[in-house]
Amino acid sequence: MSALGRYLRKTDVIAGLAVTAAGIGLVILSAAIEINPLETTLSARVFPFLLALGLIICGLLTLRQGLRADAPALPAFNLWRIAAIALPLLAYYYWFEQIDFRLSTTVYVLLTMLLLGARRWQEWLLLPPAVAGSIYLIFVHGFGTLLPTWN
Amino acid sequence: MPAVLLWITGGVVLGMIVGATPGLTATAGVAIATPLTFSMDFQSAMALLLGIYCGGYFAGSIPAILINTPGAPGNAATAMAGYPLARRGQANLALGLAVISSVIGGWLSALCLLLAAPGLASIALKFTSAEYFALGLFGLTCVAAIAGGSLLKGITAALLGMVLGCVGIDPVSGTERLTFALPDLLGGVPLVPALIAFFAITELISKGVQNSADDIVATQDQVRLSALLPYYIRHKWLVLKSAAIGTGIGMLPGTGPTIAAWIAYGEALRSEKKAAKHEPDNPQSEHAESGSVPGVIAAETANNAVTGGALIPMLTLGIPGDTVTAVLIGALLIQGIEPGPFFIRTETALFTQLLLVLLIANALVLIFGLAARRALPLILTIPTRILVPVVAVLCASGVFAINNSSFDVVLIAALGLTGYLLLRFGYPMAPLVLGLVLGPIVETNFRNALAVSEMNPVVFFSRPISAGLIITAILVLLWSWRRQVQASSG
Repeated sequence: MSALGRYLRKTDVIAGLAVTAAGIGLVILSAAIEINPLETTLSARVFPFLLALGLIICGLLTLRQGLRADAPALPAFNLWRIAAIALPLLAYYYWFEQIDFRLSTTVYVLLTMLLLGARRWQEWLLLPPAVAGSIYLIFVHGFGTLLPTWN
Repeated sequence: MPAVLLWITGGVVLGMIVGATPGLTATAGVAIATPLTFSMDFQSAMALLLGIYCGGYFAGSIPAILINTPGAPGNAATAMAGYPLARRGQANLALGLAVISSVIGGWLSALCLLLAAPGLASIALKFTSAEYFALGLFGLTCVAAIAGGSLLKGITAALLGMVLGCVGIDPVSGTERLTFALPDLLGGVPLVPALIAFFAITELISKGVQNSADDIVATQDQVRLSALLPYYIRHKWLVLKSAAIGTGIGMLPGTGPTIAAWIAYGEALRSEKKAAKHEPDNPQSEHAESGSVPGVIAAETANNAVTGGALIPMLTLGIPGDTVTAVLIGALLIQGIEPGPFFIRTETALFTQLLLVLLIANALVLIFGLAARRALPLILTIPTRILVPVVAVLCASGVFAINNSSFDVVLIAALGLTGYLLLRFGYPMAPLVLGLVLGPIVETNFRNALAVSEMNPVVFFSRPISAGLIITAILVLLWSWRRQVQASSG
């Protein structure tokens, strides 16, 4: 493995690079903030700019830590597992307002339970509608708040 | 009197339900109940509202300890300290300590309200932008230095939180910042959804990603009430210090339980690490990463001590100390009572009634909280395959209920995934969240102080409270840096 490849497997190298990049991105975004000519104190772009400088410094220091020989290696990421949790969650949250809460929640709970290893058919059949129904009742009729519905 | 007791009981129960529901806070509970008080007399109205206030502030600690989901922003520090305890089989202990600490905090702050209201309010009035800036900076450095892990990553997390706090319309100039032209971000990154994202969503992704073999929660130890007493004897100064922090911060307008709980939590961890250094073999010396008994005590004492503290400026100056007291002023006006400098002098009987209600409400929190603490840890036995989707649905419903905004629901998914990545790379969540809370306070007061002093930065050092806080913050950072250098070289 090349030296560069070895460094890119260190937690602090990746974290340092990401934080430095975020800092540089924030410098660019800060420069784009409009200045109110009537302001009598520091302009609206100064504080984000200072934070960006702080992030760049912290990022570079983290990067330096990562270049040491004894720096910890990257944590293991089980991408399939993360996708199995995150994708249904993202889809459920993204279409939260468009679909009737009781339907979307039943489907989401069932899907996540299956992906997380639920094997008993009684659980598949009973729990998703029970969760959707009880949370709907508590929020809408108990707390008097709104949840998305089609009627 | 029985009717008033009934209203307090109803208020405490309602407050505990609202407070324990992620997304709904004591503020929401008091706001929902305020219109109901139109037809009530003063005692009943205050009984209901103060019951919700005390019950709500405590109950946020229940989901914080059991599922790492703070019921309210003020319970985020409790999640950091209490959730690892629950995972280690000490949920019963953590809940018991949370209940008792909350009540002690509530009672001590009520005592302060009784004894020192007018005098303390005049101290709060002396706080200018310079002191608020210094207080914010102090809170941030304490948590960044002590939250666990590397100091560098703690500071980075605090900076990232402050960047999130910059999003939206700049409160000083009215300029739009970092909104990416999204109208939903004009009001900034909303605090409660952000908290739910960084604690609950991050946690549920972590739980879901873990192999089922890792998902074994330790058998829960049952702790007798008498076994909790030694913790309070051992940490008596911490309790008093946290109550003072909570009451003091509660008195400052625009602050609230979140800042109080974090500062007290930071202080508890600092004392704990100092004690661990002197007594390395002491089994009670614990670390932030594995949960902390003093952390739970400090965070919950300070969180509930805000209740009495926030009433001080409300009753003596007519200025709310936190969001709930802002709503309570409306409730007092409904009753035809205008709080202000003459309230205690002219309405002594009403003031005494308020104090009594506060004391009784806290006593009821103690009774209900202790009664429920044995049953509540059953939540921990729910398998991951059921808990993960249920918590995800609760989070979405709670967040949607706040503003009826589907954008907030998508936002918690995005922030939650970011939080998960940050956590995997060793960035602590506490400074990130506190950066979001304190960032706007620090920035606004920094700029206001400079504007008032004609851009002279000496203003931060020429005022004793401000200078003291800034110097303490620098010392905390230096101490933490030295400790890390010693640890890495040793």
